[in-house]
Amino acid sequence: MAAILELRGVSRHYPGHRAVHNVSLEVESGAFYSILGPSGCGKTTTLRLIAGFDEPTSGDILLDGKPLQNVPAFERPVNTVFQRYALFPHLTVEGNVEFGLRRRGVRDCKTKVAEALEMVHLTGKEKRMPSQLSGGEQQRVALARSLVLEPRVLLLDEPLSALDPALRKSVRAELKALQRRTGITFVFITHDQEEALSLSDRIAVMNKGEVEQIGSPQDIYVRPATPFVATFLGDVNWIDDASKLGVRPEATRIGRESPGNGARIESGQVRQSVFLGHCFHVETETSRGRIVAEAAQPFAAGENVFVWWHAADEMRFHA
Amino acid sequence: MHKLRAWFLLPARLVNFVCFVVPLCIVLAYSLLSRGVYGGVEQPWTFENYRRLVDPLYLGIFLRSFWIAGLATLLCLVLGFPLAWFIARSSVRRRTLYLNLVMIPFWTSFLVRTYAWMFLLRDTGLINTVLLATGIIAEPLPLLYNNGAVLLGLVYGYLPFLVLPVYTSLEKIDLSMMEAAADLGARPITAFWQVVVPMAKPGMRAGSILVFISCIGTYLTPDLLGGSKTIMIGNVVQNQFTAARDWPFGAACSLLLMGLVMLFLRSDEL
Repeated sequence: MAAILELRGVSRHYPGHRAVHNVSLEVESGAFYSILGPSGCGKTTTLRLIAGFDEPTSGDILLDGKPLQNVPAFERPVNTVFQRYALFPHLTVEGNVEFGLRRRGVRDCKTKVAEALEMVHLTGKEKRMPSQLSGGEQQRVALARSLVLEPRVLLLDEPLSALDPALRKSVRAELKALQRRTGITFVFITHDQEEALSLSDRIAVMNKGEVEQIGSPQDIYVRPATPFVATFLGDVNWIDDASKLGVRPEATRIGRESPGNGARIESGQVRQSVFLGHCFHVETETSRGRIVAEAAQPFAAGENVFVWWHAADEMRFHA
Repeated sequence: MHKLRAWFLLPARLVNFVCFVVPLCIVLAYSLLSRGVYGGVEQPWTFENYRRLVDPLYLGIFLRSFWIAGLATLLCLVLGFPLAWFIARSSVRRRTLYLNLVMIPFWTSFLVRTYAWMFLLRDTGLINTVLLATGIIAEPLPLLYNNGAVLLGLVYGYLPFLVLPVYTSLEKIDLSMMEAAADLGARPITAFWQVVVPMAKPGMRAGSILVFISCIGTYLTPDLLGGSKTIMIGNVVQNQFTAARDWPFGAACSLLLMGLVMLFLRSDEL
């Protein structure tokens, strides 16, 4: 499939601060594409560059192969779901959803608005003001307001972060279903690795303004390109001091007897067992340092144990 | 709990009653009495004062007062809105500076500032002197003692009353609102009319009402800057209580003004 959105060496430098540096990525049509990174990594700036709220200092942004340079935000066929939704407080739900259609001079607003509201399960709340809605409902208005315009690309700026945790998972599923149903390309900004892993077709991991790795969720989790990606996406047992060789706790086994097969084996002593609900993380002290293993049962502190893993699960990095 | 609240409200209610309700009742009573020979009021009770107000002379003054106050309010809005927008969009540190600058005129009395305008505008004033000296004009411009001068004085004096509430409204408009509007395809000018203005409405309303009410009752500005043809209703009221010594008629005038303003504001709400 062809790339619907392409960033070629895009940078946004401020005096004394490189918010975004040399970012290149390709988003395929119909994809759920996440840009993942810690706060301040430049992911929101990247989104603002795509939306047209800010201009890159160098590099090109192409939509459907055409450069977006000098195309003002109000003419770009992309729409944004803002982190704090940015609903117009003086307009009703209906008024908010209609806003974009009216700007385009669409005459048959009512049907489209009704369809969009039905899609986000807000039928019957057309006349409410945003202040009368819950956070989850406000977010769905923000979604409907953008989706009704059938954008080429929908940009979502940490849309789940303002919701309470109980709601987040259900909204996450809804978001994915919505994306499948509409077939609209989503560019999803998040700092939550679980969100990114569960939702995305592809993920670009950003750190300090640069892209560290681009790949499928499995790719970047199992074969992280850099130590940063490895630690940002999950826990890592570092087998050496220089962060060149690591293994994830869930790939690390633990037992009182040595398995005696071809695995990498270390002997050690249990420091403590931490209950995580679905499993225990057993912290051990070995000659290689601290190694955490996942186990179904707890081990007592001070117990002598063996921890082992398979060479295939090792993550190797070149400095 | 309710008892406690009643006690806390008592001082405010007392002040309100003594300083507002009682005087208003006195004014109402005066307006229904007859004129005393040396000022003051006398029996008998009468509606005569209100009947006299129907005179085209006074109706004309009422009409002009509304017209001048309305125009002054509109001018304040046109001049004050961009200023409030500019302040609201400045950095937080700058905002404090600008707001203080807006309020600096309040540090001097309104009377003194109005006199200052007289010194600027009169035939031998600064503006005319400079224009004459540079040869731009041959005769002094009639800048003082006309409707324009009154309007200028009112707009100058009451502009801060509009800027401050409008600023308060505009300040709350998050930059993301403008971005959202642009994102949904609104050009900057459309975003202004469809998003900024509606969201600033509460402030524009409050500011306009403040300016309008202050202007319609004013007597100082038309008295000093206006000519004999620029009498406003405030001057009529003042005159009845001083030179004309017709307290009942003055009272009737002020009550009619109050009634009309209330009607005017109510109709604005609908």
